[in-house]
Amino acid sequence: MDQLERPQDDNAQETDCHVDNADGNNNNNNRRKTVCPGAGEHPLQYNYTFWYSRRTPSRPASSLSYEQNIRQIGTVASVEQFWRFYSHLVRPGDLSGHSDFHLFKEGIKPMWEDESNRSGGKWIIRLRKGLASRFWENIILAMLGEQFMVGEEICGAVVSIRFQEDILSIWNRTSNDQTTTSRIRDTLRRVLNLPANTIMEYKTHNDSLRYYYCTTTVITATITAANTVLVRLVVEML
Amino acid sequence: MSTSRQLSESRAIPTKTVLINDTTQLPHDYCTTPGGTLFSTTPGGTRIIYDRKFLLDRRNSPIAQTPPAHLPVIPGVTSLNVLTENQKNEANNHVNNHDGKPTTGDDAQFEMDI
Repeated sequence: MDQLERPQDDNAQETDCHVDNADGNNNNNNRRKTVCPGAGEHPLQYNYTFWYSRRTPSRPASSLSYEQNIRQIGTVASVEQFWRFYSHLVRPGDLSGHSDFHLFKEGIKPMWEDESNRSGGKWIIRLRKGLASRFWENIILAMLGEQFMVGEEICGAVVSIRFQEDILSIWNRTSNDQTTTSRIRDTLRRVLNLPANTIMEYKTHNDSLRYYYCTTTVITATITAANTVLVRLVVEML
Repeated sequence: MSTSRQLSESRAIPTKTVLINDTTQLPHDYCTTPGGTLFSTTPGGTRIIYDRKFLLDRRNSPIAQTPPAHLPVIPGVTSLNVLTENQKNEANNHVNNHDGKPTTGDDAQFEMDI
């Protein structure tokens, strides 16, 4: 089964979303949506997709295996649809192993290689154990409720469960847009009510890539749509 | 009415001007609109905005309770039963917010102004 294949939502409108994408709201860059709010439901400004990924620590993290290890859970277009999915997902604090939940705008893959993320970065917040579930819920409610007020910049949020700490991140499109990154930081402080002495770090995705991988070298070449060859040096950690 | 009267002096209402250079210096509750955000206008045009309380209130509507069709089965991640423990803890968080009593597991939630 192609794990990236989008599971169909059960709304009757699932394949025929009569959404007028020229309505000026500029949702999802005017891509055609596959999911719509049901009758009587409260629409979200954007559709969002839930993803889940898990890595067994012994396996090396190459971008190929990353794409295979991450899978979609479902896409939501309304507040009620969001709760339907969210209520049927285990809380992040109860996940085992090296796992992540991602909630990204429809059409944006939770990978830096996605074109929406290539020039982007993320705020990361490290949390001691026991806090992930609560803060994940609060960060995604703020994101869905459009509390960040940075136009189209937000791409998605991730909660990463790790051995001794958990990490919350929020990704945006343009890492060098300081107005945006400052505003995201201020909103995070306001909506999350973080413990004292919590450090927030901003990392561009390029920085993360350089920092995380080391040791062995694998060179991959990607042909982009414009027929230029993007050679990327991926150094993997054993 | 008292026969002895004291004339008080009139004064202008005392005001204080604070110069700020950056939006980060604004107090956190400045211009907060009920059910809205910090911003009195919406940069980027009209948006659909929900505050946290509104979103949480929708959780218990019947539409939000039924499991989504085609929910992938991932043991330990997805569950066909609504995670009632989830809801109970959440309900406790709301009830206990004002008491500040911690729930089991996570630290207590404080009521947040969003």
